[in-house]
Amino acid sequence: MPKTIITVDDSMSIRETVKMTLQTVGYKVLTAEDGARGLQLCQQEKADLVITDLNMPNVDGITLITNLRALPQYRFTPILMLTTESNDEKKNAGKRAGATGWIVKPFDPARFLAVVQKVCPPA
Amino acid sequence: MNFDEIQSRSRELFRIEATDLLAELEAALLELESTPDDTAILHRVFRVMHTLKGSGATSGFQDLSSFLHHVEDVFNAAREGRVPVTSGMIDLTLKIGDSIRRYLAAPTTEAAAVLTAESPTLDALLAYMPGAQSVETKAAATTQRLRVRFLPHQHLFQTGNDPGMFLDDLRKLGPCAIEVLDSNLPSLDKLEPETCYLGWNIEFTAPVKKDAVREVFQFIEGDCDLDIQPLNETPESKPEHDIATTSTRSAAALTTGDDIRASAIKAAVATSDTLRVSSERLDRLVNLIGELVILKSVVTATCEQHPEIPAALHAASETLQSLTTQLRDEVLNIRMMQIGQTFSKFRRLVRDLSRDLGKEVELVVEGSETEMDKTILDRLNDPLVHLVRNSLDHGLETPTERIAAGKTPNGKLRLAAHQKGDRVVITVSDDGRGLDPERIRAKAIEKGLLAVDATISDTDLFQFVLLPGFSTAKNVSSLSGRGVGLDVVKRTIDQLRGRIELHSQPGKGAEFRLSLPLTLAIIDGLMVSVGKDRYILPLSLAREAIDLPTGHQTGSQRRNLVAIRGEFIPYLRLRDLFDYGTPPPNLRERVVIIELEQTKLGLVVDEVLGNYQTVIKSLGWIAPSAPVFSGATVLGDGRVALIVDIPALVTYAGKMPAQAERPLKLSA
Repeated sequence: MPKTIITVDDSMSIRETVKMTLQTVGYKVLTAEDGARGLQLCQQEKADLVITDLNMPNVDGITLITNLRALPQYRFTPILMLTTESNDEKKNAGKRAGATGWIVKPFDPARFLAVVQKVCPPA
Repeated sequence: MNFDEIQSRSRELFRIEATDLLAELEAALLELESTPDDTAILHRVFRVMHTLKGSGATSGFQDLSSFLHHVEDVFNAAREGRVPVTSGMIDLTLKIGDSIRRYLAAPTTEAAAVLTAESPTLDALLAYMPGAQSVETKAAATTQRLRVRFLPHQHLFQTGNDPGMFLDDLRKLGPCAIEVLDSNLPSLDKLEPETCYLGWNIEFTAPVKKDAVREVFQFIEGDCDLDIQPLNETPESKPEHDIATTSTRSAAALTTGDDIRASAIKAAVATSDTLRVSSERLDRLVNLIGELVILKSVVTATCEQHPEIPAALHAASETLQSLTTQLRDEVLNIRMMQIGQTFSKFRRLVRDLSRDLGKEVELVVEGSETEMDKTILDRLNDPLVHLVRNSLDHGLETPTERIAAGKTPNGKLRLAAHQKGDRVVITVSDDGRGLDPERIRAKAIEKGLLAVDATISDTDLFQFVLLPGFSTAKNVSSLSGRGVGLDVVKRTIDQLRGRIELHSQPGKGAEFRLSLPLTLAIIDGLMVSVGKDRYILPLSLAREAIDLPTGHQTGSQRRNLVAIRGEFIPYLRLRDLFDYGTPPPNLRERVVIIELEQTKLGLVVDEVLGNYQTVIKSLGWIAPSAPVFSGATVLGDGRVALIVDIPALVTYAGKMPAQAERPLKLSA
């Protein structure tokens, strides 16, 4: 059984890039375009890792992380946030909300995969 | 494959990949040096470095990876415009590239020492980093044996982090011993399964960078207590720890990294659509094909001699013939490599050497896409290095001298290649001071190599500088003065069945023109006979074969000319040249018309026997006494045919006082 990763981002191109990159190494990838749909998807399908953008319309990433940590099945699930280097404040807010770690945008696939495989080793 | 095999295969793959990457890095750096503002090239440098670092880490070269990490930092800073690209920076990076080559070539046990020895270079490079950062990075860049105490806060699991993954990452940095600190572990009835009670002591048994260790823990900086201390340098000294509160656990049991790596490697191998094969294997293949070609001619010859053989066998023999030809061409094609790879190595040489000599030299490369047999290319490297050095040392002048001579301050060195028929012509030329024909002439006369009143073309005169002991003499020409003569170059080119020509105009420059065969192994030949012997002429040079008109049959002392369609073509009679001493058996001799560098020439033989796929065998120790033959081949019936080196034959015949008068002694 491949591990499932849910990636939440309002940018279609980032969503697709993330998806393709993860699929090349055998993860099952589901996507959502904002925090609200992301939360919905996470409840329908238990993810082994959630990767979320922070700035999104409707429900933002910080709120999504907070909501996920409140769900019993997501208390210990790794959650990575996509952030820009300049934004330490957001990063810390994300950590306080319970994020496992972060990936700095723009990322290159090798680095991205290294972080993903660190927090969510492939099955 | 077990893990060890995968790892060693992975390391092997990386060594191959790294060779390419280092070459690319060098090329990009040199390009960057000439256009330091070109961000595209800067990105290329960065990307190559990054790939090298990344693949190195995945293939088990962690020390290299962490070393490169700091080099990459500098170029990242440059990429972000925080640091300007300077030639000093490029110098150091080129040096680092060289040391990585040494590192990869060194036995595993000594490799680490190569990098350690290079840390002053790294420090110097890191000094280019913006002010405040440089000191810190510098300190962190030096590797040392470290002891890490990692005490996660109790809520760690709630962040989705698992201490195991950090321990895995640490193990990737280098060999280490991990021990669990379980003194905080409560009794079972009080144990909260969601709380992290454990801590770890990690002791590296090899030097690592403090920075790299910190990076591992960056996600949980505020969620754990982390203490990183350098260990006493003597590996024997055991660090003290409270035995009562610690228990040692096998570090290997904590990792699942092995499986990840195995699958990643498999994926990498599967996606590649090119295959790397060692050149020895190709050589064996070519040798086998050579044998097959000979066997094919045995079959063909046997079929021809026995008309009673069933027609089906004749047909099969013909198919065999065409298949072996195709097979031969395909295999020889695999061995063809672009000369560009050889040429590109010279950018660095020219750059370093011209700097040492205080000269400004622009290298122009043309015809990089020209293909040649790998064996020839490999052996061509040293002669080319010699010629390039020669140009830089003696041909090209210093900027001051050039300005005084009314030239541009920067000299031009040109490396060019193009294919011409079955040969590749490579030229190494410069616009330097050139060769002085008068001085060479004087020296040749002094050495007794040339008669005082001899008339000789400059091209022939220049050949003297290729003689052993000639060029080393003092002040003979701009080419002299070095201990190693150009005779070494000539010898190698000769061995490759190539020719070397010099052209020069004093004050304007010199050109070395090398003409080399495309391949060394097999050629298409035209088989001819003289008496009972067979000879092979290179088919690529033969244009047509005609009957020698009557009236030419007797060996004339005069100039031999045959008229073909109104054109008078000089001819040489092999029978006379090779001193058969008997008249031709046939009424009519045949002339094979050869075209050599726009000049036509006839070779008179007894009979023309047809095309023949010729597997070239070296003449070995006989070669020096038979200069007009480039090799020999074994015929289908087991006889040996000599392969005529036509240019050499022409030179030989031309040297004789009257053409075809002094026979060549075939005393082997």
